[in-house]
Amino acid sequence: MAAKEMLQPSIEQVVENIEKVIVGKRNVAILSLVALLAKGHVLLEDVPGVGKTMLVRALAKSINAQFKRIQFTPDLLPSDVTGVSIYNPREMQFEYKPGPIMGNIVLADEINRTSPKTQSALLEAMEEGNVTVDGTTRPLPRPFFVMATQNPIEYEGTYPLPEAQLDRFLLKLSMGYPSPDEEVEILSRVEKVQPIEEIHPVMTVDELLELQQKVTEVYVGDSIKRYIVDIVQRSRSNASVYLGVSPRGSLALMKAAQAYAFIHGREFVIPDDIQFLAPYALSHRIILKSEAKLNGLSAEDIVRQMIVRTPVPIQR
Amino acid sequence: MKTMRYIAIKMLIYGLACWLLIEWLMPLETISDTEGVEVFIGFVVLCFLLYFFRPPFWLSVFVKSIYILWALNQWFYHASLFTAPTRIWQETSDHAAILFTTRLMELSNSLRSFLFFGLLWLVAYVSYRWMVVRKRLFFFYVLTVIYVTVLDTFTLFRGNGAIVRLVAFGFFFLSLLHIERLREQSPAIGGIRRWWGACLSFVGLAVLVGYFSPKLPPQWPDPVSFVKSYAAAPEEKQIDPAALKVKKVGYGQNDSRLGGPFIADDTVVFTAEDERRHYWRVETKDIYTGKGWTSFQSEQMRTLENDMDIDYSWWSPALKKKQITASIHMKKTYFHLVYPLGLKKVKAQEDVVYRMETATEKIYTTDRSVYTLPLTSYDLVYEYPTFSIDALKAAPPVGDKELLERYTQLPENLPKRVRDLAKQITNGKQTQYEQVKAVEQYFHANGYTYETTDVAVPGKKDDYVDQFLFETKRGYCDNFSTSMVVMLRSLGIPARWVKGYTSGRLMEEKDGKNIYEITNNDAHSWVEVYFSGIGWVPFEPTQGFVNPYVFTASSPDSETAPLPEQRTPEQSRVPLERVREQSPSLPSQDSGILDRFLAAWSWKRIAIALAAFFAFVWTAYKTRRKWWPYVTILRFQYKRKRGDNLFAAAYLSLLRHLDDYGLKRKPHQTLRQYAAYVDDWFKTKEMTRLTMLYEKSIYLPKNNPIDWDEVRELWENLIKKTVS
Repeated sequence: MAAKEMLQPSIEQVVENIEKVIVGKRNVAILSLVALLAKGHVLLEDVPGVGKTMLVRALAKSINAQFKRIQFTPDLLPSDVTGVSIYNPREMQFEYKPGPIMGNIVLADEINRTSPKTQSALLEAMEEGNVTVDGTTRPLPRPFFVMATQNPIEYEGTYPLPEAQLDRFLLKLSMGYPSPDEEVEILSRVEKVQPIEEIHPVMTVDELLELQQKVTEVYVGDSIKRYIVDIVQRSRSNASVYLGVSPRGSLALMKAAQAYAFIHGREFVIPDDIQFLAPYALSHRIILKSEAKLNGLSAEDIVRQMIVRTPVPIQR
Repeated sequence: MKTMRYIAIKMLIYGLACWLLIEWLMPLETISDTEGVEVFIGFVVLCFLLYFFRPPFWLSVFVKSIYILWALNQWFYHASLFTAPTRIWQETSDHAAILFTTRLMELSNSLRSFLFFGLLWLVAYVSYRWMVVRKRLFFFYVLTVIYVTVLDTFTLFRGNGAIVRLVAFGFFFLSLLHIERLREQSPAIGGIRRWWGACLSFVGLAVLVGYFSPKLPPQWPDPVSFVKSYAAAPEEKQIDPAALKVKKVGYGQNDSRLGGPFIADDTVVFTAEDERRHYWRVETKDIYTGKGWTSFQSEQMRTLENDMDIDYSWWSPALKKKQITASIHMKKTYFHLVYPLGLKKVKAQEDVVYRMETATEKIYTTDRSVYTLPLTSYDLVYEYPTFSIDALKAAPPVGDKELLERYTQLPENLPKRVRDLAKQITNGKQTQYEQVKAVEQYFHANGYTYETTDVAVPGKKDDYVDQFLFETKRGYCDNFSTSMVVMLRSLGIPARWVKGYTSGRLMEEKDGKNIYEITNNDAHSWVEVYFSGIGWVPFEPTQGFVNPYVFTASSPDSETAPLPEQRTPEQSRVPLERVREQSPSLPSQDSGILDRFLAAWSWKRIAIALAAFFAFVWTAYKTRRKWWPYVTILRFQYKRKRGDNLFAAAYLSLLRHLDDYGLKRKPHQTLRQYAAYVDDWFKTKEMTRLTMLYEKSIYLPKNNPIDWDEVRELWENLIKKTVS
């Protein structure tokens, strides 16, 4: 076990805020912040009712950001996401009505329930940072952070995200069920008031943007870059893997590592960051062969294998 | 795979336990009149085989019983196997009474063998329980070593091979059982492969070094005579302190303390088929200590090949000689030859190498390696000399300084009256021969008597020769010959003391050859005197003995020719190394020592020593690396250049030391994880602190100043921890 590192004080405040609402999910909170600071997006793969919405709302409220929620359904249209231009008879022209995507923090709930057309509208917005409605490109607000969820259990009437689109999420997280003690704690917390109402912003959006800028300045040594590439390369030559991690994966891992190092108050990335983040940053970018799946292997197992097989750089 | 290894180790343990027991049986044939030891060995092997395969109890008893009955039947009864039990029962009941008395010698051979089988059965079971089941060996092993060494010292049994085997297999076995015991306690124990490596290399190294390193001659006098005399002491102490030592007549090796009575012993030593009577030499001694004789300390050996002419000049070529062959049949086991003066060739059936100790002219019989090899019979070719009295008289005084120095050695505290007596005896004698003759004859008159029982041992302040010449005047060959040598030496005549046997008793004549029987009673000592231009000439001062060599009055024609002085026989015999060693051109003592060292250490030995040394260093490096950290600390203590590179080097060496210490870092472990592991082990936080500093130095761009002093303190603390 690596030694526990202190968090950056401002980040610690955010995490503490989230912890007031969500019990025992510090790790998920930190990882969400990693994605937020690295200007990436998160795919939460979880069963309903474990607190995904609360997490995002707490995060949004902590940084005093605009929170939007899109509930994806099969009949949702792209324009329901991006917004539409409606003719204003008084002004005698089309007027743009922003969609729910025009927020700082967007919860895209059950993203795999909607049609690929709608999905790609969202994903394009995530990637490009702007939306095009009726030929007009409109920038999305800054910061822009999407937390998409999907239910790993139900596949009936869903449109699983294609690999190319999964690749666009920086991290894939899972909250999982709370432990019995934690669950008791949840019950007693919500007994009288909803804690989400109780928390206050601890950071402004401008401060967050500044932090995002600082993250990019975190130093990644050559040996670390080589280490990232070594790990990623192993996914491409692994016998159980059908499709390995793309260079975008390497990039994601590095960006996340920068944010993670920053969160911990370091101005440089260490191999521990890489090892910690690799399962979250890489496992959704790997497609296993069906034999491997039948053997009970998961993408996380493969990532763990990759890490174990890669020697850590201990010299410059 | 695993079970295969398990079975292999099990077999190894059973085999080694069996071997150790057999090691006890091996000497029996030599030290007792036991015959057919291999049958007993077979029984032990059978016992261990049965323990290994664990048949039902009744079956193993049955098999062993059949084996015993078969063996006894083969040896004694020669009847049907089924009658054997009744025979044994009969004998047991007949001899039952004996078993409970002290007359054990009266037991019949068959019953004794039967009882021995029983004993072996018991011992095999006990050693099986002890070594294989309990996995304890040390006590038994020490007993075995003592057993072998005692037998080697006090009996004819040669334990050379046994000792080597005991070291090689014994140590291996000890350590194998140790690791097996450990494994029993904690089955998950690791590092077995490394244990094998370490164990085998250490045992191999010990055996190699032991085998190839030069062996010193015994540093103590042979303990046997000492122990015997000590054991004999209580009865005789009150009677006569002089009779402390009772010797058995016969050939012994240790002459450093002469004197004391003899007990006659007519055991036949060998028979010789020969034409002439002459003395049989064994060795010469040339350092008189005042109490007895010791030999010139030298390791010089000359190797003589079987059935090849011996290039050793006994006399000057001018001497009249006759070539004669003789054959020897040994009745007792000796590892040296008995040979006549003038030996030219030895021939034996065995593949034997003769090694002559140049200091004593004793010739050992060995095999191709260094093991001694007793010969039962061999043929000799030798030159029988005829000494011309005229030539001897004409011989000039010996001029060879080196020879003179060596063979006129006398102790400093030799009483003056011995010298005076020698002068008195030889008063008026001109030539060396006449002087020698006068001394030899002196003993025949003047009241000297041959005596074997009432012979004094010189006291602490007495000189052996002085005591005999002036006080006791009674003694045997040793007294006479030693006295003569000492007196001659006091006159400056080179003389030496020779041991061996007289020509023995003539048993029969067979086609021109006489057959002599030589017993222990024929053991003898006499004198050899060096005459320049002739060589060593034997003389016989002992009362009642006659010099067997022929001295003729008329001079042979060739004899008068002067001999080339530059090649006197003795000179040609001096080994090259000694010439070098004593040559005056080497001024300092150091170079002499170096030369002697080089002479003693041949290139082969040096190569082996170097190999052993490097092997030792390598093993030490591999196993004793825990001392290395101090070296590392010193290495970094005085480094002037400070900076990232130094820190990196120091940190990496710390990692290596931690690895040696046993805290292994897996390649995928990050430094931080490893540091936490190390800190957890040492109960500190230093490794984490140091690692965080190191992380800065390697994962950040350069030009990162590092507080070397802080780093060094942490680093030294950690590295010191790896020492303990």
